[in-house]
Parts: sequence; structure tokens; C-alpha cells
Amino acid sequence: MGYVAAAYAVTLLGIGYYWWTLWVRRSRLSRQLGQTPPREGRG
Amino acid sequence: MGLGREGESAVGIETVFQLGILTAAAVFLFFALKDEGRDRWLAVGAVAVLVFGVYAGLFIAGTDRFQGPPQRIFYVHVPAAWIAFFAFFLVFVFSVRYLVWREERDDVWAHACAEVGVLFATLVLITGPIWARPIWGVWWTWDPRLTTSLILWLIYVGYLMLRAYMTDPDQRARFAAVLGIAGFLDVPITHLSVVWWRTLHPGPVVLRSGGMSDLPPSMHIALWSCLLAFTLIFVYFVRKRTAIERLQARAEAARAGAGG
Amino acid sequence: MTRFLEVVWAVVEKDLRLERRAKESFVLMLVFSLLVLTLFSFAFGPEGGPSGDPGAVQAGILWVAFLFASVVGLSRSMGVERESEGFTAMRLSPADPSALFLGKMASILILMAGMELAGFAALAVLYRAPVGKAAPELALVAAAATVGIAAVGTLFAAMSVRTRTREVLLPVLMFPLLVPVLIAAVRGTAAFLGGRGWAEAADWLKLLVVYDVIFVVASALVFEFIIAD
Repeated sequence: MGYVAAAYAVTLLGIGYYWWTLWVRRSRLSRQLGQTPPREGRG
Repeated sequence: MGLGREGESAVGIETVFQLGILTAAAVFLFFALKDEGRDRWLAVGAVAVLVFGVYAGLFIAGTDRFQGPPQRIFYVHVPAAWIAFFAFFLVFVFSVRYLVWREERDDVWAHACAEVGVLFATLVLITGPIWARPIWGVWWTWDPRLTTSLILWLIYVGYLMLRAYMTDPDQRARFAAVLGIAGFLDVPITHLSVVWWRTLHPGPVVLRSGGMSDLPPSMHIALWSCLLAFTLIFVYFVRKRTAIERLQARAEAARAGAGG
Repeated sequence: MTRFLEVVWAVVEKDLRLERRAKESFVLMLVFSLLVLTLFSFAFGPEGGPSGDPGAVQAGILWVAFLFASVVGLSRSMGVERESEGFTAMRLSPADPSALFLGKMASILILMAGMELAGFAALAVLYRAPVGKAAPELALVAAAATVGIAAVGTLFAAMSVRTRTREVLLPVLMFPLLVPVLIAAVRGTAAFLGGRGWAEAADWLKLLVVYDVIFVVASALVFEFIIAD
């Protein structure tokens, strides 16, 4: 059962990690542009 | 609660899993709610379906008769593989579009799809060996599908590296598009050659082919909900990634303007 | 003595501190070594051992050697273009880019053919491989495989030579796409070296031909996007 746990954990952690990198990149860029993150949907 | 016959251990393991799922759900939900607009709903929806899918894979789906509990890895491994392949197909489509119409947005979308595709391909390559180990006793068996996944991973990691090592945006877009097309064209032939190669020295196959139609409904629930979850996550990640790319372009333009 | 060690340490610090370079090199090396590991597996069979067929090992050695040698040739061929503004010349020329591509490809093909001739000869001498007996068949397999290598190689060499990492990126881009060629070339060559002939080699040869058609045509069509500025 440990294997199942490992596989599911890796999946969730992998998704979470990538999500986190997106957040970090996004906030760093918004700070560089000197504004709060713009609303989505346009462009 | 934890009948020994089904191979489930005592109550303790189940609770650990459920706690794990709840923790992940809480963390993900927290970040999903921090988003805005349409993306927020997409994120929340993706998290919800993901939680359900993981729960289904671990608790709803019945235990496989042949492989036992480790077979549950199938519910994250296979959808991840499908999404990765779909992602690389999209890279191909956007690459062709870019070369034909030269619109920057196609290049942005291609890049995003490649990046998220590599994420899922990496998950495939990690969950694959984790699945193989308890079943076959070894981490890697050069199983045809897994081997093709490895090659695919190498091709698209190469795609990302090519993009990372180029500075001229126009050239970078064109070169990446060429690689995106060539890489995808290569896939069917590569898979065929690997399958033939493997028939010479047959070995353990992690995923028994042709086994899809005879899955009981409980397993279908887990499989398709995980697939839906990954699809939503894919769409969400690609949207966020392209937004970052656009922000980056604006940041670069601002920098250029200030310098001039 | 301490002065000497100080200098050593200072250089190490400097190199690893130039974070971007060090990180890039690390990733490149990592991916490249992983790639080579998988290539060797395709060349020498999944079970590793020769399973009693010396021809298989000989074929594997040969084609891995040829693959690496091709990178050398391709890098130089394209390096020359970059240094002599050859790409600019190609872009400004009214000639059909596909023709330019086929020309570059043909020249590499010729170079590789010569190299492979020597390679097979060396194989016969150093490994006592029965090359002479099946020479025309071996040549056929080699030709089919080399066309594929030349097509994909020329295309990617033209790209990689214009990146920041130059030719270093070429094998990383090229080799994954050449896996079918490697597998088929090794299997086909091994079949003839082992005396098993067309029964085994025919399918592999067909695969090589299909690969060649797809990639020669695709690369020729797409070359104009590589030389455009």
C-alpha cells in the first residue's frame, strides 16, 4: 500500500509544486510591473 | 471498515489516506480561492474533481484481482499519460499554426502546452516505476508504453531547453515550432519501433493492453474522474502559464522603453 | 602550497557561482547522460546481455559510434555556415530553401558514407565481424539509416548552432528523434551480421524507408523557417 500512497502523493505534490511555481512567477512579474495582478479574461 | 479479504489493511491506513486527501484538498482549495474571475471557478472545479478522483481511485474502485492494491496507481498513471500526449498534440497544432500565420499567441500557447505536458509526462515516468516495482519487483522493465513515454519526455524537455537557450524571440518561436512539429511526427514511428524491439525480447508489461472494456463500473468512475480532473488542471495551468508569458512580454517591453 | 589550493578553490567558487551557467550545464549534462543511457539500451537490447548473438553487440557498437560521429560532422558543417555568414547568404539567395537543405544533407551524407565505410572495415578487423559476406545488404541498411540521420541532423544542426549553447544542444535535440533509426539500424545490421538475413531485416528496412520519406520531406519543407532571419 505504500506504493499506492507514494504514487498518489507524488502526483498531488507534483501538481501542487508546479502550481506554486506559477504563483511565484506571477507575483514576481506583477511586482516588477508595479501593479496588482490584472484580471483574467482579456488579451 | 477494512475487511482483510480485500487486501485492505486495518482502519489505520485508510484514515491516513483520508487525512492526506483532506490536507491536500484544503491547501489546493486555499490557493484556488485566491485566484480571480473565471480562473477561480476553473481552479475550484479542478480541485473538487481531483479530490473526488483520488478518493475514487483509493476507495471507490474495487481492488484488482490480479495485481492487488498497487493497481490503483493506474488511475493516476494512465490519465496523466493521456493528458501528456494530448498536450504534445496541442504543441504540434500550435506549432503548425504559428508557422502558417505567424501569430505570437500561437507560440505562447505552444510553449505553455509543452511545459504543462512535461509536468504530466514527468508524473507518468514517476508513477510508472512506482507501479512496476510491487508488481514485477523491478523499477523499470523497458515496457513499450513506458519507454515511448521516456522518449517523449526527452523530446519535449529538449523543446523546453531549446527555448531556454535562445534569446531572439522570433527565431526562438520559429525553431521551437519546427521542433514541435518534428517531435510529434516522430511519435508514432518511435512507438512502432519500440514495440517491435520489445517483441524480440518480450518482457513484463506494466499495463495489460485491451483491458479497458472489461473494467467494472467502480473502476470506470475512478479512471474517468481522474481524467476529467487532469483535463481541468491542464486547461487551468495552460491559461495561467500563457498569462504569465503575456506579463513577461509587458515587463520586457517596459524595460526596453525605460532604457531607451 | 596553500596559495595553490586557494587558486583552485577560487576557480571552483567562481564557476559554480555563475549560477546560470552552472545550472544550464548541469541540466544539459543530466539530460544528455540520461539520453545516452537510453540509447545504449536500444543499441544493446533491453536485457543488456548479448544473448549469444555477437552480431547484435557489434551492430550496437557500430551505430552508437556512427551516431556520435555524425554529431561531430554536423556541428562542423553548420559551424562553418554560422561563421561565414552562410545563413545570411542562404536567406538572401533566391534559391529554393528545400534545395539548399538537400544540398547540405547530401554533403553530410557523403561524409558519413565515407566514415561508415571505414567503420565497417574497422569492425571487420577489430571485432572479426563477418562484414564481407553481407556487404551489399549491410550497405543498404546503412544507407537507409544514414539518410534519416542526415535529414534530422541537418535540420537540427542548423537550429542548434544558432543557440546560446551552440552545438552542445545538438545531440540532446537529435538523439530522441533518431531512436527509431537507431533501433532499426542495429536490428537490421545485426540480422545480416548474424546470418539471419532478410527474414528478420526486411521489416526494419521498411521502417527506415518510411522514416526517411517522412523526415526528408518534412525537413526540406520546413528548412526555410530555419534560415529565415
